[in-house]
Amino acid sequence: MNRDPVSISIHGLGKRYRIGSYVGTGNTLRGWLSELFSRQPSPQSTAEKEPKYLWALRDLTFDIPVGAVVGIIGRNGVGKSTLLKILSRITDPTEGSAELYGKTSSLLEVGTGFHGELTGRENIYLSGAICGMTRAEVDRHFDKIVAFSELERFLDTPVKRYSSGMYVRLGFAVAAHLDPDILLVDEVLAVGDLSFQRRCLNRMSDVAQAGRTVLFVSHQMAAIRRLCNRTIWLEAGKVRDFGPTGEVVARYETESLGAAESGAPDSHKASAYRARFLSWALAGASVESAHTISALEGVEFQLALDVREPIRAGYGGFEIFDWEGKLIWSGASHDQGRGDLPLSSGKYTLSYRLPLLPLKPGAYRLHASFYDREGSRLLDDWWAMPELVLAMPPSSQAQDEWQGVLNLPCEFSIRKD
Amino acid sequence: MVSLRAAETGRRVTDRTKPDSSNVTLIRVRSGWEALNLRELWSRRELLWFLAWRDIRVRYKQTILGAGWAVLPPFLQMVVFSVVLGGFLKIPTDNQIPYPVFSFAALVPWTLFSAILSGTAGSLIANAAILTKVYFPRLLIPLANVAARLVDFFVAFVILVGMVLVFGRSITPAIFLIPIFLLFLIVTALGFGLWLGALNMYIRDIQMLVPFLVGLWEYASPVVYSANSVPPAWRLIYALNPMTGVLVGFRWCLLGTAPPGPENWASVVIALVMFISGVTVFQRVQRNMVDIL
Repeated sequence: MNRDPVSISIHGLGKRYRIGSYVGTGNTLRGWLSELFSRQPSPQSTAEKEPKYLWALRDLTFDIPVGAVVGIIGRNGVGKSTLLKILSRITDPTEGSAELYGKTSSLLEVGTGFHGELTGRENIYLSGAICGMTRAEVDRHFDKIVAFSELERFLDTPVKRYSSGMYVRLGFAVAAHLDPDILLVDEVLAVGDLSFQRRCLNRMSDVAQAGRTVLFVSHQMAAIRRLCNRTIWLEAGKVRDFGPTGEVVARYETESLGAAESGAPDSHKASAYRARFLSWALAGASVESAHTISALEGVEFQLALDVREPIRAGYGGFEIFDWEGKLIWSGASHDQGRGDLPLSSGKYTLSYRLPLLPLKPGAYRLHASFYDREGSRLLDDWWAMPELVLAMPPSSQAQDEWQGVLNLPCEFSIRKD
Repeated sequence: MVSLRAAETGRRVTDRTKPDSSNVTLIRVRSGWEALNLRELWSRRELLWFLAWRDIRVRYKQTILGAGWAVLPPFLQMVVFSVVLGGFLKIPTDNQIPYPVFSFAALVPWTLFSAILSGTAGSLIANAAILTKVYFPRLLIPLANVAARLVDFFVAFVILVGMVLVFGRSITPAIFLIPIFLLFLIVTALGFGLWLGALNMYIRDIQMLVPFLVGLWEYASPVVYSANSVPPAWRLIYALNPMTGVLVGFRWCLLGTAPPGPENWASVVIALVMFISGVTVFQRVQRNMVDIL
């Protein structure tokens, strides 16, 4: 991947915003004039004097090869949109630089430049011109744009009379027929009905597969997984993680969904106990880190258990839940005719080996429990931390509501009987 | 990875393995002043026409009179001024020219001037929705406003020529000098408008000031009266107003009154300085205006 020609090259990019108003904070005509006539923006010196600044982005440096489809994820306000705005040349960076090789189009909203008083037909030309198409290009694509929007009957109706869905359809139809080398897309797929969202995603993957470079900001991890081969995780204006989509997204989901960083159990504070879980880890060929699996292979969960007092009839339970709390799988030390576990005090490792864990990529929660069957006493009950992360590539390209639970490679064939 | 392989195959098919080195966009910190990128402006000239066309379409949509509105305001002003100023107050004109055509010859260019000036000053804010979402040379917005207003001007100008003929004056070859004064008018209006527009980004008071300013400026220019009514002692200061030269010039070309005197050259310099500095300041401000809008 590194030998591919570079499409976007970013060096030390940063953007500082002023917090508060330009007027009424002492920044009147005089302040404006002095700012206007100062030759250097000199971010460091003024930042120290004036604490009313916020760095939306800082020290961003990375290269994106030609043809890469890169997702940008992160919580609200971490600078995702600012990055796209700088790369779209809507606003200047405060420091650093970026080079973009080829014609760049940005899709930061649906229906850029639309005017409500104008008809659908007129707005196709206007929006196309504003987004960088020539008149000849719009003429050439006009029929395709209309077909994509499915608004043939309303072409001569002013856009202000359109429903919001129609407006979005027309807007995306124009944007979908821009023909850039680099496409910058902000969260625009969050609008429209599901079937239209699906067509937008399809269109974007067409663009991606035609070898264009795409930067795609989204909060929809399903869309990111489906479209992007690499993903940048931004946090507080900096690159937190940049790598293959499956891994980055999974790590992001794990953390943003409230997981703690430590690998130690935190659910029980009592110092007096008969038995408790200490940690968990994975064993297997495709285990990427202690809690991440990156391929569809056999995997073994190993739970460390500390037993202080002898247990005559021990019983372990183990479950995998998805993020919605749905039980995906459960197993126990009793299964397949195994009996109670007589344990003396000491440290144990309980292993649950699965031949395959064909779940769709994402973060999962593990639950482990341990009982003494004598007196049916629950000795420890642990929501294992951190979460299990499955970072294998999705084996099917299902969309949105058609995403199932399992991630199984399927061999398809057809014959005529 | 599955999706990666798909992207690579696609690239081989379309042969996009090399970036187009002739088409590199460099994004960097810009400091100080910068020359206008005329080549970029020229490459997006089609957008200029689209934006101008949009302004005109939108302005006259759902109106009954349509393009009649290009003529009606100066025409009604002319009627009122003729009754009050020409009729009641008997304001003198040059060479006994009837007051209606005398004032209309100045009201038509003045209407264009006032429309360009206030349109330019407010155009960035009016187009904030587009400016925050897509990049194109920002100067196209005020330029499109000029183009759209010129269309109105040409409609009104035809009526003006008709009035000159109706009032028994003849059209002389001097009419071909009109474009010079028209250009002077546009340069002046854009120069002041770009300054005001740039300031307006930071200080919205400008927005309130502009209509007021246009009203005052109208009285400081020979619109409803003749420049010859100005006492000789004030003539030199009066000539510093670029619109004095423009309006005297329009009357000269259409009505055969005295041409603008040499004292008006100073106002040409003022207009050019305002225009060049206005474009420069605008270029400087537009760079980060999205953060302020």
